[in-house]
Amino acid sequence: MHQQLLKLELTGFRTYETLSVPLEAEVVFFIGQNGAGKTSILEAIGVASVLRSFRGGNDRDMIRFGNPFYSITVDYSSAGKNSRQHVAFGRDPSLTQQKDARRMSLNGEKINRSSEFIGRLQTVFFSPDDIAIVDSGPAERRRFFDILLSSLFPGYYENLQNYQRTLKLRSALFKSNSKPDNVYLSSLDKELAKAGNVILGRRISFIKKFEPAFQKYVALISGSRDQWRIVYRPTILAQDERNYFQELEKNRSKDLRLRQTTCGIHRDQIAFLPEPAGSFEEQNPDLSRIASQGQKRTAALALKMAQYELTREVRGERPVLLIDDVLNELDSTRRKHFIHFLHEIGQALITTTDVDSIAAYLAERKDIRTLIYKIEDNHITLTNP
Amino acid sequence: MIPELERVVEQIAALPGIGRKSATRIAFHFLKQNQEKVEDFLTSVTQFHSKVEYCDECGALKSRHLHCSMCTPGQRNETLLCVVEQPSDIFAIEASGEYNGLYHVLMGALSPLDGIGPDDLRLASLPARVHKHPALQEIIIATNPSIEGNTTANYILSMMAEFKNLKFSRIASGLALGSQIEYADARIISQSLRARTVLE
Repeated sequence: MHQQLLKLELTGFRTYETLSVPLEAEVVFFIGQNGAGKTSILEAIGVASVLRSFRGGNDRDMIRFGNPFYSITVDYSSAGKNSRQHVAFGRDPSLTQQKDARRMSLNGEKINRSSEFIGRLQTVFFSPDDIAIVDSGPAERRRFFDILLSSLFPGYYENLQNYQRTLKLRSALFKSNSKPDNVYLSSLDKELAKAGNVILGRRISFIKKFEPAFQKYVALISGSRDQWRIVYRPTILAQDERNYFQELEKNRSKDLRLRQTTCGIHRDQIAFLPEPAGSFEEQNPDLSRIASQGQKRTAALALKMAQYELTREVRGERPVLLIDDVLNELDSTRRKHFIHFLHEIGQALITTTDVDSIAAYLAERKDIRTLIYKIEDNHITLTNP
Repeated sequence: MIPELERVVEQIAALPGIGRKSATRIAFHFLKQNQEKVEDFLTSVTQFHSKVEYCDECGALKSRHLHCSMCTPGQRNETLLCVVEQPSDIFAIEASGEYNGLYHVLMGALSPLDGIGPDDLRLASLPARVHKHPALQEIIIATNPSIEGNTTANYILSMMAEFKNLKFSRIASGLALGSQIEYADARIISQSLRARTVLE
């Protein structure tokens, strides 16, 4: 079983005033020059899935210049049932609202909490920028797993929000008061421990399940030349909520001195280390320091392929793949492996600048339904041969 | 919009939960009414301000110079005390008809972002109230289910640790009546499962 997009409708999103694209096919290509508006289409579907931009932009930036709001409507089928998911952000002119707000609905039913919206439509986004997950600091890696865990386990998102909110309150308390009341701080820390403990447990157990899938794809793409372990390095190692709280207490004098929360899931690191372990002399032999560009690209690709596999496992359904300009970035061997991977998937939306890069794939896959759209200056035309 | 209307609309739209569209409708409603009715309305608002106060004992809203109905001896179940954030929360709980115990209004919740600490709330008087009501058995902490509300509940639990004979409880949160399980998020569902009740 797989999730399948049926139709996308946009209003005031990025450069699109309005757009309506049927998507009923196993593979949908969007072909166009850079800046033609291909990525925005994938981005919109991503926002309808996790309420965040894959590009990391904020909601305001996604509203088309001159429009009061953007709106995204996605029709899709999941578990044999058709659904319609709608999200809009900005000022709603019919309500004379002054402030920007987000509105969500599912099959016409209004949804108030984002945690009830996220994770219904499952997507995996492949982008040349994915290399940042393995190549930049710990924040990017945590972000990757946090977004994935949020979309797979809605309770995770709620805990993450609670954690971040409590962290904010804690630092406000440090700033406003040189000697905060100990009972007050403990009362806050109980909330921090409650959310932190759930997140920590979920991350550790998930990464254990994620690692073998990741390693499998790294081996596949690199022809078994690369091997990486994923190691979660917690700043608080706790068995339960009470334990987590006690660890926070131990760090309290240090936190008070530095006026910040020095340990917890917001400081944890996720390392990619070479296997076998002994073969590198570096002090900190993390992938970001010792791998070549090609190895990094392989690891980034494998992360997303593993995301696909774990999503399928957890949700019992194959997610939709959104593949942005990835094919041109890959050398011929990696491209071959990647295209091979596409054979086993459900639905994929693929953007590319030229038909040539997909010609081989199309020739190979006469068995499935494809749609080929050409995009020029935000005008979209179906050009199926 | 003419300036006279603009001024009224602006004032009404400043009220909580009212946008400019509703404000305009209310302004025109006033215009259609006779002068006397509008003055009645305004007088009731002005008098409201000068004729009510908060009870020194429990913090509930009461008429000035009259006894607080929530504190009148013999009127309420004195084995229960419910701690709430705002005086308006009392009306919501009373409307449910489920509760007939005593109240204690904190006048807010602990919130470092708003600079609200324990000294800014009606927390210090809570132990004294417990001493004053020897029949008391249970304190229900009904602060909002937010980080601030939970933190306040944690704080109360710590500061009241000396009262070993008292039971402390927290209001349940979970699935709302009328909601559909299919659309509810997993945390709410897990919370509802943990706080499940036996059917009799």
